[in-house]
Amino acid sequence: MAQFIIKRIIYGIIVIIGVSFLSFIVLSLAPGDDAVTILTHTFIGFDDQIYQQDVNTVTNLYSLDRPLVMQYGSWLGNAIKGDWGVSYVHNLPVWQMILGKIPYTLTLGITAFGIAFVISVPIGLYVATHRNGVVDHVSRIITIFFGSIPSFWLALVLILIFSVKLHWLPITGMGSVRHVILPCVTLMVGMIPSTLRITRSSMSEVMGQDYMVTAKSKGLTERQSVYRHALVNTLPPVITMAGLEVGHILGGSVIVETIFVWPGIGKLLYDSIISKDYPMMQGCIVTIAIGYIVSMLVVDIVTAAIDPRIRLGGGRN
Amino acid sequence: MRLNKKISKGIAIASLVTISGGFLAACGGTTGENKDTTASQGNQTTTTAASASAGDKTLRIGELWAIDNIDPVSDGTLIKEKACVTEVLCEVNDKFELQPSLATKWENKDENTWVFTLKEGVKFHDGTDMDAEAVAWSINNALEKNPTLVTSTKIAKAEATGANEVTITTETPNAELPEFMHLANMSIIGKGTYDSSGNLVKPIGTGPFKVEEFNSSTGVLTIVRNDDYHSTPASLAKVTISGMTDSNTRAMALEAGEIDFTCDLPFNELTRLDELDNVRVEKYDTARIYTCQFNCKGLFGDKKVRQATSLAMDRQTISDKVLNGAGTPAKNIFTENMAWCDTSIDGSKFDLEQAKKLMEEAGWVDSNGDGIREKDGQDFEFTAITYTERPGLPLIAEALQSQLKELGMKVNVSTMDNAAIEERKEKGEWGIYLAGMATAMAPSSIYYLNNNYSSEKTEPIGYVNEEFDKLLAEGQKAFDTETRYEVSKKIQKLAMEELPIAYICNYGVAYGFSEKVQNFKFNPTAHDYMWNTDITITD
Repeated sequence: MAQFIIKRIIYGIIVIIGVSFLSFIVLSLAPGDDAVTILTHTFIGFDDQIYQQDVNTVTNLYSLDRPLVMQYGSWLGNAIKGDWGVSYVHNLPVWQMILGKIPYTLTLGITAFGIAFVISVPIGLYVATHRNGVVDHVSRIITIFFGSIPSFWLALVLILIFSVKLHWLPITGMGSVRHVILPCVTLMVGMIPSTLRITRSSMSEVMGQDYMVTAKSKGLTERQSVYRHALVNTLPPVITMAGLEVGHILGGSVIVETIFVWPGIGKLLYDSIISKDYPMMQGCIVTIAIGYIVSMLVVDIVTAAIDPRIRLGGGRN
Repeated sequence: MRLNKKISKGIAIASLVTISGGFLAACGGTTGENKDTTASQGNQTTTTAASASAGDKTLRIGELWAIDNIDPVSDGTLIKEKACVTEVLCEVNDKFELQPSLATKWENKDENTWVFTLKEGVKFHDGTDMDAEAVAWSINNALEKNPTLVTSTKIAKAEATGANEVTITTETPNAELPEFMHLANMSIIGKGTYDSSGNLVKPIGTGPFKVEEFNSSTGVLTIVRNDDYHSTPASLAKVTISGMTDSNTRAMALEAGEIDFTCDLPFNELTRLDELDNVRVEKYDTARIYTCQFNCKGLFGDKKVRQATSLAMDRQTISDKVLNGAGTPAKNIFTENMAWCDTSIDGSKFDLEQAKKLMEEAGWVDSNGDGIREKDGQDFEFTAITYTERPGLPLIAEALQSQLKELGMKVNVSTMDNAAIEERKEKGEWGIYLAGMATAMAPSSIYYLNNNYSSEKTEPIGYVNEEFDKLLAEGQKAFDTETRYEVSKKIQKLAMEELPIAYICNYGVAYGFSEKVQNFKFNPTAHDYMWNTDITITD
């Protein structure tokens, strides 16, 4: 098991370095001079004249004239030491800004995920054991409906109904449960359909397996066969899905956080894209990648613990 | 059935345990510092909402940019204009004419030496004196931290030459140095703004408001009245400024009563918002303008073609229908309230027939009847380039595409990121370039003209006119304000005749107010907004 975990961690580190390299190169290839971007967003503004003298000063100040590979090498070297560069726009350390936003994103994301999990997994298990019943049909319609709604549209509709018209809930701000409700519901609605569907299909598949028939034929009651055999075999895909959702939390709420002015990683990424703050974009992308890798690592460990085939290399690998 | 119920119950309990664990993990994962921040923010929000209802005069502003940094040297506009925390040596009135502020008078001893006399008895928010030594430190600090200020002001150094006298030396003559001391990034700040390592603590200014709290995580800046202000204290007790980058969110927050004031509302929402009982929309022209620069290396090398294009622009329709009234047709480079504006010029005339005549005189006729003019076998087809950062620009580009078709021009629109514009221009693949430009970044009658009409600046677009260079040199050397204004007017006349740049509309701003906000007076010198300190909030 220890060997399995170490292998997974090494893979994770390689992926993170790969992601950071790709994002660095792609961001660097964006059109336009970085020095002009820094000048217009940090020192001057869009509407004023840019002097070549200032462009040169900024180029030297931020060492923008070095070859890309050298720039990346120096970024990576510093990043390992905890220095993720300085934001072009805010002139503050990237890591410090990201660290300040992570708790907000996690609070919103994990709350939304938790509630979505509590709602969708029991319903998914129930409809799998009651296939083609009324609840199954209704849940299918609802998941298709919710799964088709774009989150930015839902966010605006929720604001319109519950904030602008009914004055029940605030649109922006922090500090009370009321502030969390609308962004949380918006995120949650996007998470429920996928979790519910995967739970249903996974449980349905398990219920049709030969060993379930064997379990019943050896005298187990339905409850015993479900608890002893079905649940444990339903779990790996559901846990994988949950891991993906948790991994998605750090980067998946960009629009929701922006609309609700929720001060998390998503809004930070959106603002940095708008203002072409490349070091901040790079920092956010790497943070999101780390979020994915860590959650996938946890998923692998949990599923490997449940299913020995995985850690022995016989199953998913 | 009974079995299924039990299974469901078991699953529900297991799930509840999972979510509780997850939620607790989320809260537990929050660092102590951030817990405090959230709590503090929570208290702040609660206080704000409660105080607004109690009518203790808290103004809640929805700011259009994210607020992550409040350094007065790089974010001077926020701290000086939007938060009224800092002040400058020289202010301007509604006509953009210089007025005493923290400096009571100024004079130039020679071309490179200026002496500013400071107002006496002014204190910074931390109680220290705003004396010559503090002001000299503030200016030198700004130049060191923001190198672009050296380029625009040309200042070499500032030094205290008396208790209330600061002498500023420039590297090269700058006849408009006092005008540049109005720049928000040149605001006078106290040494307490930074700690001993040079890191920002909080802006310490002399203004009518002082910073109470800045939550960098949530991007909310709270300022409170400075009761020891050296002039008339503000009416409001407190102001909260929250960064809300999404314009729809700002509009809905205003409608829902969460904020009292905001700006840059979506164009298509202006009419609806104004019709609401609890919201008021006011539109003003700012010191910015929508410009149309011509590529004189190509189709627009002929002055008659440029003039025809300008005459074919229906500016009133653009103003009314495209910008929804947020902006008026531009008659000249500068708005009429600017003291140096030549008000006799009206470049906003729409005359399609005259435009067609000019095109024919220039040799461009539609000989094959396809609606596009040709000359020497070449169609009059070009690309209009613009950028997305100013939302009005892509809309104006589309409107011009349709309007210039009437003149027999085929216009392709290419919208891109602001940073990509220069690269595109260098390739020469453009006919007109639409931009938003500040015409009074500093309240100067020459600065904008020099940046846009000197041969050095116009040569890359294929236009050189030595007359501009002669007049600009004359203006830059004129230390007398009236002389400078006269030279500026001559340049404006020449510019509107030659038209290397046509002016489309003045850049309008739409402010949204809660009906409770009273006594707002528009400040035309502000870059986004600047509220007057006698603004009030009714219960």
